Amino acid sequence: MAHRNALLLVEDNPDDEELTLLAFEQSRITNEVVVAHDGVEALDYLFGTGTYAGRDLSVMPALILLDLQLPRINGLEVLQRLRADTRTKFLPVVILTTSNEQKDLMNSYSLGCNSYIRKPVDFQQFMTAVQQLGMYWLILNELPPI
Amino acid sequence: MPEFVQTLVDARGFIPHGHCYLWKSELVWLHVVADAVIGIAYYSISFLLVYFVHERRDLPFHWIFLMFGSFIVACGTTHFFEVWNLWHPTYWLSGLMKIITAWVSVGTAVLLVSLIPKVLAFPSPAQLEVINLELRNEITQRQEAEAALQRANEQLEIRVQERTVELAQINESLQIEIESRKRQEEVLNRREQEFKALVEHAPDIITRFDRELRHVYINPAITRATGLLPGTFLGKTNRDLGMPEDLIVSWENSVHQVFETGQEESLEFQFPTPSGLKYYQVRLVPELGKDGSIKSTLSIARDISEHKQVEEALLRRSRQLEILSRASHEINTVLEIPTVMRTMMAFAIELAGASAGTYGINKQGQMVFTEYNQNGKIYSVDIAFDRGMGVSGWVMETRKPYVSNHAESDPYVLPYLQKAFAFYNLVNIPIFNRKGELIGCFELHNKANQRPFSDNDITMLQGLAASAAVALENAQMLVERQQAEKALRESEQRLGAIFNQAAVGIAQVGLDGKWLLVNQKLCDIIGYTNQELLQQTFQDITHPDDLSISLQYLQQMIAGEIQYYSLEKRYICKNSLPIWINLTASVVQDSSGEPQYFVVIVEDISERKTTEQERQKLISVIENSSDFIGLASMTGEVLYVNKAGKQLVGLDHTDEVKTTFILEYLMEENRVEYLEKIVPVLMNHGRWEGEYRFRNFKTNQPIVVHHNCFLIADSRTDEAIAIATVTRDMTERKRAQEELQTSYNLLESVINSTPDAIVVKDLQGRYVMINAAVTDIQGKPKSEILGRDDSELFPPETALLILENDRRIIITGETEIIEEDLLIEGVHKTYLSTKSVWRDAQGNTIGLIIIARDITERKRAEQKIRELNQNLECRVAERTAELETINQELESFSYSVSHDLRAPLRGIDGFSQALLDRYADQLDEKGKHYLRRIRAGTQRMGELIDDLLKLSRVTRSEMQPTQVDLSALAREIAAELQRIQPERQVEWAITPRLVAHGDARLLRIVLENLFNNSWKFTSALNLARIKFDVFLQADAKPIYFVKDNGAGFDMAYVDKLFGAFQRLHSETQFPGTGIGLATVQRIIHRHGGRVWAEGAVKQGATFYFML
Repeated sequence: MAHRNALLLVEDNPDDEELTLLAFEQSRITNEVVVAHDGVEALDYLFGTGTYAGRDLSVMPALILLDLQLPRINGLEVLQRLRADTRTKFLPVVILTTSNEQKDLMNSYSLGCNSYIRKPVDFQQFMTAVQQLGMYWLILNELPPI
Repeated sequence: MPEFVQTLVDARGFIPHGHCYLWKSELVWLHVVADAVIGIAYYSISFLLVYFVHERRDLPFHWIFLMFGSFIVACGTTHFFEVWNLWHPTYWLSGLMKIITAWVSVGTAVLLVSLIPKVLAFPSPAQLEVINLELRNEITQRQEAEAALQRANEQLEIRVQERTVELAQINESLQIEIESRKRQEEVLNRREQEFKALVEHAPDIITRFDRELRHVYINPAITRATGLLPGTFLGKTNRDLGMPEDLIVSWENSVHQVFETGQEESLEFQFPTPSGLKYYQVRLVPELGKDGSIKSTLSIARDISEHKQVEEALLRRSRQLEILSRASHEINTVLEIPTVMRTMMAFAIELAGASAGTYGINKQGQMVFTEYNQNGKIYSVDIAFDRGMGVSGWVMETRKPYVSNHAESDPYVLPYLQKAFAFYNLVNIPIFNRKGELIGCFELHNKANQRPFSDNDITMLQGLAASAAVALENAQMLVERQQAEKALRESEQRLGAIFNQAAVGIAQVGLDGKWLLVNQKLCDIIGYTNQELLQQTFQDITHPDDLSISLQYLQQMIAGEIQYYSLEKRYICKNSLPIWINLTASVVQDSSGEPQYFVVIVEDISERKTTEQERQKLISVIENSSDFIGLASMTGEVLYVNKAGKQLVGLDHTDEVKTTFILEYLMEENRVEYLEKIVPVLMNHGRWEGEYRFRNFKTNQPIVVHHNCFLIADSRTDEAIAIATVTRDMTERKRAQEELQTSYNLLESVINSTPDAIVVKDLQGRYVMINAAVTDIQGKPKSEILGRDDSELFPPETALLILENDRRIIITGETEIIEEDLLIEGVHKTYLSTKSVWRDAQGNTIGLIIIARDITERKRAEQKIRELNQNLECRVAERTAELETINQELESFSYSVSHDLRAPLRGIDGFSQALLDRYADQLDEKGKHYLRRIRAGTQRMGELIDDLLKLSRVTRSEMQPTQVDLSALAREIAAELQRIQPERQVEWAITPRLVAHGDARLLRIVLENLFNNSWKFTSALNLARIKFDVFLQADAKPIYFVKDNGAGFDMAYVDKLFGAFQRLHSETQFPGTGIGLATVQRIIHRHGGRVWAEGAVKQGATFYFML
């Protein structure tokens, strides 16, 4: 699969979106970042439906950063659906959210997220987290050959 | 008429026919000649026809020829009138002529039409020719026949002449025959006369019956048979003659049969005639009339009486022989003389066909009759005949049978006997034994005028007598043998009875000691059965101690040294007990003096032995009895007083006793009463018993006694021979009884004063004892409760419940405390019953003791509490539900807090940082400072939110209690703190193995907070000390504590320590949110424990908690 270096950021809060992108930028993560603002958009992108109809599905993101609190279809459901589909079931998904409720942690992991990161209030810490995350998932981590 | 004729002949007015011919003569003449010729011809034809008919009379239908003649004459006439009319115009007349001609012609034609078919039938000439020919042939034949006839006539003539000659000869012989016929007729007449004479004189009764069964003829034989003249019978039927009915019927049937079938019939009948009963055999023969029908029946009756008699005699003899043979057999099967005689008698009666019979037995020259058999019934008689007396006397003397067929007039027959037994004839047959001695006789009587006894009867009866004689002898022999046997048997029975029923044991013992024969008594004595004993020897059952002496005697007897011996010894009974017996043994020897066996007589002397021993025992018992036992004569002299008695009344010696009287043993004031009241009772009833007073001879003090005195009777006469007493000293018992009463009274008042119901029941469940509480409960007096059981006091269900419990306790013997719900007087009550078995002195269960406490009120209170509890639980559940709802709301609240509050913070912080990073060169220091302050504020806000969430989570999360190693947790936390700030000098003192029960996660939070605090507040120190330990409270509950030597706190603010967001130190001094201890308190509270703190400023703080 070509161009696996794209990133899918699923985030509804524009502040968070901008900060995250800022963090990527400052962390020198140069990968293309596709932003979906809710669950539907994310699924449209992944399965080439809706506004993304006709998208070349051979290009899948190298990493999905998924917020839980999303309009329309929430993050857990998005996770559940993409894990249920053979095309997306091995995509690395990192939950990136404000919540650290145990319930959310349990649900996310049981639905098969690869990692769970709570966005810290401190931007420095947030940036560090993003930096390390990008380093790990985009560089160190090996993906299954699909 | 003349007018009519006138008219006819009147020719006036008409013109003559000649005019028509114009009177031309030739023409006129032509017509005249022609008509005249025709007329003449016609007349001549007619004339010829008449002549023909006249000549041929046989001519058929000759009248038709006459008719032809007539009409031809008429025609001829008309032709003549034609001639006439030529000149004379009488046309009316010629017309009339024509009309006549027409009428005759038509008539002829009509007749001819009817005649034609008949005429046609006439043969034609050809046919006639043929017929003629045939006729001619016939004539020829006839002429030939006539010639033949002629010849035959001639022959006939010859034969007639011959026949005439023959006839003349026949006539001659006929003449001769007629003469012979006449002679035959004469013979026939003579024969008929002879035949008639034959019939008239025939011995058979010959009768002719007509169809009405009337006698048409009967020969004189009837007169010989009946004494009646034949004329009496003629024209009468048998019925008319009054014949016996059965005879008439059979007779009529048979005769009718003959009339119907035409077959011969035969019948037999008997008929009483003046000369006795006659038997007839009758043949019935049909007699045919000339037309072949049966006109009459001829009966030929032959007297066959004699033949019958012979036949009957033969039959009778054969029957008699048969009876005789049966009798001989039967008589010889009986073995008693009277039975033999009686059987013989019955057979004799049957044999001779007699009506009665009797038999006699020769007893010392007298013939004695004891039985009379009449019609099978036996009557007792008692008649004895001496020799020469009556018939039997004659028989005894002559030894011959005697027959009398006219008993009334017989000189030997005793008239009074004849009258008494009313017989007509008699036979008496003697009976001889084999030695020829007259042993008896029998006599048969005929009561009515029956058949007399014949010689044959006598022969038969003699045969019977001979048979009976043999049987009698046998019977006699049997009687003798039976008598002998009986005597023997009786003798044996007597001996057997002696042997078996002897009051002593008797036995036959072999030389080896084996029991050969034992009697019942011996068996009874030693308890073995006959069979068991016969399996053993006497040695087997002899007591070992007595065996050697027994054997010694045995040897001596076998050796012939002694003939018998007697010995008291012991046997061992079957039940293994020894029994004392007296044995007498003798030896029985055979003729050669060799010992054969022993006869032993065994006598049970155990009783005697026992009696002796018993007496000794009794005396000992009496002497050693603790009761006063005494004996006195009927007159009151005391004979004996036992040891205890003497002691009681203060007598020292037996001798002293014998000088006393009964009354002396009583207090003086009681003596009269004793004599008047007690002695009479004693004398009348043989006994008196009751409480009385004796006295002490020495002290004269009264002694309270239970006095029992009675009479001793002679066992044989039942007469009182002594007075005895068994008297018990009651002094001690009286005292004991009183003591018992006292203690009983105490017990009773205790029992009665208790509010608990106390019941004692016997094994049948009847109330034996109850206390006052029971009567209160039952609301009944004691008397209505005692002796009853629960079923009478409680409703059935309650009674059953109690019964079940009671039973169980009686069976198990265990004391139980049971709650019983009882229905008493319609009110449900609950009793706590303690039930235990009641035992007698030996420990046997004899009843049940129940102590029941009314706990109805308590139960009611309990019930109330239970209900309240339940209410409470309900309320708790409601409250819990409410709280859960609140909790859930809180949860969602805090969830949104954690998200929604933090997100903007991150933005503020992030963009502040971005400003600092990217636009640092455009900001002065102050601006940067402000941005930093913004960031610090947001971060603190983030921490606060996080802590708040933690706190709320503590309350919300579910508890999962386990055993938690607090020490291990403490060590982990300490290590973590040390790891973050390795530079710090902290002295940890963590007591190992502190294990508590609780939620591990929550307890970790507790320890984390406490350790964090200690760590934090000791941060200013060079050497910090943090200790985790436990101590036990008074009730052994552990109290854990974390102690440090840090900043401490002012106890004045101790109340605020555990409130949320409460802080005792400034943020700059010691950073923190003020949530930690609030969290700790919450967790401890959730564990149901307590947390508190002690401390002082700068002297450290200690946090205690217990779970």
